[in-house]
Amino acid sequence: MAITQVGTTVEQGITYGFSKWCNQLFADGDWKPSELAKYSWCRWKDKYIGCCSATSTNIQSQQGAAVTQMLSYFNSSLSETSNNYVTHYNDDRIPTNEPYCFNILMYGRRGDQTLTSDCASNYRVITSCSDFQSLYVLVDKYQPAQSTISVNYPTARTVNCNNLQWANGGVYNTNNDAHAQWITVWTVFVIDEDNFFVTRGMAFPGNTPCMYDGVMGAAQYNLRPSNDLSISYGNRITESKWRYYYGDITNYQKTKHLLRWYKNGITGIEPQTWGDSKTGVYDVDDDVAIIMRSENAVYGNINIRYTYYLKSEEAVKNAIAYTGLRWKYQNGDTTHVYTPIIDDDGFITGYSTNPDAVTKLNDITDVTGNNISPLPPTPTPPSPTPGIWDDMPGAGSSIGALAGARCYICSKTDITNLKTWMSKTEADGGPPDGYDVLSSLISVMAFPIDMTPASSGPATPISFTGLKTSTDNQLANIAAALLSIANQVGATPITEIKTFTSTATAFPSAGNPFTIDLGTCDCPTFYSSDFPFVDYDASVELYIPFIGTMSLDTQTVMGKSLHAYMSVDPITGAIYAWCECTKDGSRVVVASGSGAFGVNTPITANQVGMAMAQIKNNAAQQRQTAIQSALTLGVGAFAGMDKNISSILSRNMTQAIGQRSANIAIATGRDYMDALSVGASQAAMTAIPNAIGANLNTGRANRQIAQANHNSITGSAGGSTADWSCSYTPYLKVITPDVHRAGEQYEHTYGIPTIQSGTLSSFSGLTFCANPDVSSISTATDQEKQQIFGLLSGGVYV
Amino acid sequence: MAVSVKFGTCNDAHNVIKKTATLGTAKSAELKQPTSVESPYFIVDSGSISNTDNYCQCSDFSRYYYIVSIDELPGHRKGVQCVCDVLKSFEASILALPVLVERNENTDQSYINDQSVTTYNRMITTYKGFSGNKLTKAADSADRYVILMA
Repeated sequence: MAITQVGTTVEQGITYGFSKWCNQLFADGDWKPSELAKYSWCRWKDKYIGCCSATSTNIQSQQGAAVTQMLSYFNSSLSETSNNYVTHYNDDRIPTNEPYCFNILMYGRRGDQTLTSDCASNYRVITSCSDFQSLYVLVDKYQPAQSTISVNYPTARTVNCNNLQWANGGVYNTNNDAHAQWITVWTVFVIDEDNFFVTRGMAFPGNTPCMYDGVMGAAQYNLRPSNDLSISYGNRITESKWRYYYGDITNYQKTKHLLRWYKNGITGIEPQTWGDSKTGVYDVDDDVAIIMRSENAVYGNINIRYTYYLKSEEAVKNAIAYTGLRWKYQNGDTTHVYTPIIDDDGFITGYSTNPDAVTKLNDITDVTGNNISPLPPTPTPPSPTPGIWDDMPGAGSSIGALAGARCYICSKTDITNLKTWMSKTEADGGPPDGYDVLSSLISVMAFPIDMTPASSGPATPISFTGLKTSTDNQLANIAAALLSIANQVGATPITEIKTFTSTATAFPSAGNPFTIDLGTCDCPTFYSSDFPFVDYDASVELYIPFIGTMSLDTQTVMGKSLHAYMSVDPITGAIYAWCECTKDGSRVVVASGSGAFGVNTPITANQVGMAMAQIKNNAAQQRQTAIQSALTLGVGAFAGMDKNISSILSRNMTQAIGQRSANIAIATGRDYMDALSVGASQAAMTAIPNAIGANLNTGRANRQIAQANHNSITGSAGGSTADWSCSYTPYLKVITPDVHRAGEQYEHTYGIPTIQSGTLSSFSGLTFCANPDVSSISTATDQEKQQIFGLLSGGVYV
Repeated sequence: MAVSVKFGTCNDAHNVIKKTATLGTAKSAELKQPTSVESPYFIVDSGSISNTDNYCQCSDFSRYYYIVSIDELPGHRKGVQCVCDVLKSFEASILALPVLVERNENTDQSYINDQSVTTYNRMITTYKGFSGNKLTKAADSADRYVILMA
């Protein structure tokens, strides 16, 4: 659980977000300092609270000597150096950690000085502020106290946050005593996650004198060492630091936390005990006094209250500055604006009247999200729920650096509707206020063909299954919006975006490649017995849409049946095509190529380039692995393969040669997606529809043709116009020379080239011998042998 | 010196090894002196040879001959000038020769480039389509966009 914003209110032009009632937060288990710290903007260590706090010791049930004994802790000549206060207390009650403190804003009535179980139902935590820089504290001018003792103290008003006070009652205050609603500064003093106090930082109801009213209160705890205390009756100075109200104070009751509250180890503890109904002031130093008053004389009465009393203007200024807000202080006709100095660590170090003073206050634009508490640790986001993309070889991943990434196939109409939805306010059914939808959109990929199988043949398309259903994931909002849009526009209600099943071959589910079977084509041959074979002078070219033209090796393909395929990567828009033929009983890849099939328009532009580079790098590794695996399997088809294939797709050659691997592992798996760094850069709301049109006009990719046993090229032949103006039909182009056919006489009178050895009798018809050896004709004369030689060389009929 | 010669006809071309000759009975013939085995001059009675004969065989020389010319001689005799048909004369030996054939009428080796083939100054281009699926240009309403979201 966490403290979250549940609503907003607009006051004086400033919009404030607020949480549930504090008592509800406590009941839900969210009332934790780590949660409250998320809504603070600064923290501070103040000399006035630079000490350990402690719980109180309830001495209500103790009487007489026991009380005296308890109080003897204070009665002994304790000093800061000779005695260890810690050992005099119950250690389990007295933490020795120095608390850390931070300020928050609360929204509620002004009558309470401490947040207790009694009043927690009247307060909400302020979770956001649309104009935090405009908040300031208004402090009245410094005035001397009305007393016979020249103790000067300024008076202060309740924090006047830009005149946020409004009429009594209101929807947030069900208290019929008509307390006014205020947005006030509260201070959280934290010992640990379970021991902390939330108290008013600057609450001075009515016209009480200025005092830094440090009360301690937490839900279900009502520790109130502080109270407003009027010393208008005056006081008188005695020899000791105690100044008494009524006569000499002979006994007293003190709560340990008070002593511990103000400076760790106060010196000069009054050795006497309070008497009944006594009021006194203990001057701690020049800046602070502790005012104590007992309301009744009964021992154990916990209504003994103590208050820090800021005696000097400087002390007051510091105390106000520690709210972390600017404040205005009027002295006569002069108004001074003071700016708290907040360092890089979020600590308030003082204040300044210089409007140009360097302070981190200027970097705070919102109250929300400034988690500055040194402890406990910052709440961590919940672990992402493994999504449907996990363990899938295809697109999308819910883990890794790109947790939550999804791919959605849609039409142009869907995108336009999405834009419409994005431009709406939350009240009109749009995205949540303050949520930047575009920050979740990485890119839009446009394809030239319908990515459904109906129009693209019995392919094995990608299954974009599953809308992420986590309510904590903003993607779910977008996905739900798409779903909603689809339903609203009258499309068939869908529970998932496009799940396909293949009728040809069963493929694994989500993430598989989009493979298009282009079919077969028989490469003709011009050889016949009627005229000489001239295929060796022919050329064969293969055209595959979006890949371009590839030259094929004539000798390999002439007379063979060619089978072409295309695989599409819907994530990167890359396409990989190849052509096979059967030779000597084996299927041989005779050509392959890659190109740009989809045109990608980045939305978060500053991430796409890096993202695509990462995809290609990872894909190259995948391809290398696949090739190596193929080679180890003795796949002869890849012998002599052009290693410079720049396709970003790999091939899963888990099947033996002769069988095409049905699973063309397009590099869209989570390994590549993990490399993507999802960032967000604000783009114009008009980017998407305009980009859809603009991306269709991108230029051609580079083409590279390599001649090899089979050839590969990269690039795309299309994509330069809005319609991808290129042929959508693959074809085979065979170019042969037009031969002058001499008929049968050619062979009979001229013969056909051959390089064959054997006895002459094994040949028939016209035969030309190369340099015949006639020496074995022993009965012929030399002249006759020469004649025989000439006849055999010139052609004889056998 | 008298030799035995058979006269007749043979219609095969000179570069045919397995000639078919039609020869008569052996006739006695005198040799003109001097004469060679390759190009002998036979003198025979007029009745031994016909003026249409173009081929003969001399068993004494173990050769076959083309008749080059036939001369009328006094005393009712004819002179026959011959030249040796080496292919027929040594047919068995020739046919038994181990040879390397460069060109042959009936070879099955059709892939050797024949530089002698005459081609026109034009190319024949043939287009053949594939039997499989055709890519269809997508309409705007088609699902042809993929949104990548984070």
